[in-house]
Amino acid sequence: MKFVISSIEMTNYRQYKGLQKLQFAYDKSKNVAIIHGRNGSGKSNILNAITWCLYGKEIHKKYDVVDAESMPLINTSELGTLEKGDTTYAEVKIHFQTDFGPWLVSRKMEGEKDSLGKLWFSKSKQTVTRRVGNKDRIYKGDGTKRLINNLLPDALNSFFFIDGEQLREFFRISSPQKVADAIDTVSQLGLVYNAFAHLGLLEKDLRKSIKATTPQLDEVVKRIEFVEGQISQLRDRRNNVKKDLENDTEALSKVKEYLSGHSVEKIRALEEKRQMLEAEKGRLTSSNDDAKLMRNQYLVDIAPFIFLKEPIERTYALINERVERGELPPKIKETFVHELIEEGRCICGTDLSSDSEATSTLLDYSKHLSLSELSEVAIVGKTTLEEIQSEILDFPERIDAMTERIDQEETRLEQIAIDIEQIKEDLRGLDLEEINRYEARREQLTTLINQHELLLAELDEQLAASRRILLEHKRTEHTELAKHKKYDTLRLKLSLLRETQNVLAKTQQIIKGRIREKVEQKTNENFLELIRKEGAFKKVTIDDDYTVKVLHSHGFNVINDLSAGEYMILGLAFMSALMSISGFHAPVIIDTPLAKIDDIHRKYITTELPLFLKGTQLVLLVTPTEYDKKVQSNLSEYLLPTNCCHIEENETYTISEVKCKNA
Amino acid sequence: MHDTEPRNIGYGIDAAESYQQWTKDDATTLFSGKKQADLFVFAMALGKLRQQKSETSSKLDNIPVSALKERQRWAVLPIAISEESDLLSLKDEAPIYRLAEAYANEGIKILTSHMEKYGLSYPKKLIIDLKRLLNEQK
Repeated sequence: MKFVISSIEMTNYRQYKGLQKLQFAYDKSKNVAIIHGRNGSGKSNILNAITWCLYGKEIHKKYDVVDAESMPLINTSELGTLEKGDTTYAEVKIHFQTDFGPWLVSRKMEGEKDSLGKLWFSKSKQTVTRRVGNKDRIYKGDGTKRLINNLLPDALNSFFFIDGEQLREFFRISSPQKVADAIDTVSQLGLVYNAFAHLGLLEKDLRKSIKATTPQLDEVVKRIEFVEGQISQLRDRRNNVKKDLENDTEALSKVKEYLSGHSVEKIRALEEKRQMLEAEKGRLTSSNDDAKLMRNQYLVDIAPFIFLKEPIERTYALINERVERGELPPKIKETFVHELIEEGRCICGTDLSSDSEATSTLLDYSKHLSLSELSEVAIVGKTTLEEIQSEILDFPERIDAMTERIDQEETRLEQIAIDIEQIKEDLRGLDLEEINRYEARREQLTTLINQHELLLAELDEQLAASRRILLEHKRTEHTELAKHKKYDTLRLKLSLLRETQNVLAKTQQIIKGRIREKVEQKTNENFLELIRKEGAFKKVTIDDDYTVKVLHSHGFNVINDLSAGEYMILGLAFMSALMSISGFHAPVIIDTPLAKIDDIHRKYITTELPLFLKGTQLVLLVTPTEYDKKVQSNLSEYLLPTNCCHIEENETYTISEVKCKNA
Repeated sequence: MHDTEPRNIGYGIDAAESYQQWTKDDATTLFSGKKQADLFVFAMALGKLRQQKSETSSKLDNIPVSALKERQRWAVLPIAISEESDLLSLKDEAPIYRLAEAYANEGIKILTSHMEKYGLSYPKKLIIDLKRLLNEQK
């Protein structure tokens, strides 16, 4: 179902005191709306108001917004005016225009000051009103969630309601897991996952009905239970480590960003240099690993031939000698001569009876044909041995070239390590407490990330081993059950369950694979359409393990070397791919889409994005710095003059008001 | 073409762990990511170089001969051909592969001692050895 936002009404929501209204007219070719305001004026809270109204959670918050420890969601000035016993509320109402008529979604939270002066907040309540026939139908309570999911499911909202900063960071610090999760979300495999979980429970229930008929059966059932428990624990542990890894990677990225954006130029320069060195170290380490692998594989292939150089040369000489003597390839095969003698007559008509002179001559001749049956093998051998000998001759030069590359890379890696140490020393030399604190945190996070990565690899190995053991136990269980006729039905049921699980797993794999391919194709198309230096990039790929690569025109993967603008465009290209594949047609709202982006990419985003999302409502929340004269001019073609709102703050910056041109 | 070759070749149960662990994708050995057939040919060639062979006891026929590339077959066959100085050895390849197993059986022991002694530096040591061998055979 396609929908656009017609208006947003916020009452006492966050810094918006009283009723604030934003209205948007929609036009297919003029699809852009602008909301501009200074940093901290409340732009992000407009995005938060939308997600809170629809899903009961704010985009920047990981915890429940009703949390008493956090800043109240109801405007604090409004709360300040409450006398004991007074009540107030915060409410967000969003009017949508859908293919099936208008919808109104609202969410309200009430607050009260009790007789002791303590503030209490109610749980928020959502109401959905939609036109059915000529009447408005109102929905409250649990049923509203299902209706909202028809508009845009919660799991997909982050592909449409986008925090620009997070989007820019997505591929800068993204792990393949985040890409996999996003693809998993659009794959909408919830039903398959539920079925899988259900079958697992069913299998456990069925197993309970096995009475220990033999000690072997008893033992194997216990073992299955034990290994299943082990797998479940390992999986939980893996998920926790994965989360820790993601959090620490994000935290490290923020520390790096802080240092590279520091007001002291020397700190900034040192951090930037260190980041370049670390990126080079990463590339070189990977290249060095590849080079060593190639060298090792080459050594394993060539070494046996060098060890066997003499036998090979002797064999080659033997074959060659026979070739020079004209015995290889043979003119006549030994078997042919024997067939003639057996038949007793030559093809020329000569009698070849056992006592004839011709037969005796032929028998003598056949002794010289002993190699004839081996001619094909020997001739192939001759060619193969020639190739092998030529490769042996090439060995010193080839291995020297490989070794030289490895040595050069290792020398450079050593130098990088020294340079990084020197940077740390220089930063310590500044003797600034704040920098020392950040440096210690940087060091700590780097160590933690390495530990998480090692632990993850270890857990993956343990999981794979446990799964193999489980499979083995299940096979034994099947064999043991087969010994008892009374378990025939149960055995069949367990087999059926396993087969169904296999089919589901395969289905899941096929769907995910296809969606990954689609996302890859769309992201690539979108990126090449939006990017300024189109000729500089060859392709965006998403590998089977969800690693995203941006291939430079010369084939190098430059995912770690993109500019802020290019990261933003890659993020937009990926999100747009997910949006289109999700099948939902919702407005796209981006908070601070142009911050930290150079003029050229700003131009590309502001001229190409509205065209690219033609037919989709695009709301941009921008700062005055982002919304400069050039951007205004670029967007004017796609912007209805009335679709422009401005956020104004009071003198103490505690209350914001929205002023729209169409108000 | 190789009509008389056996279906499988193998190694002794004592060497099974080396064959299985060293060739794993995440192993830190020279043979990481390679096939057991590659390790077999390597061990066989090393055994032949040192002229050391022994019968394999409790043999596991884990390597299909079809897993050998044509060029690897031509590392195996010259062992017997050169020892017999006769191309007719090719008439029955089965005994040739048994001879190869005998050399591989000792070769893997020599290789194990090298890997234990040189550890991660083994590739460097191997390069030196190979260059020295080529110089000696010039």
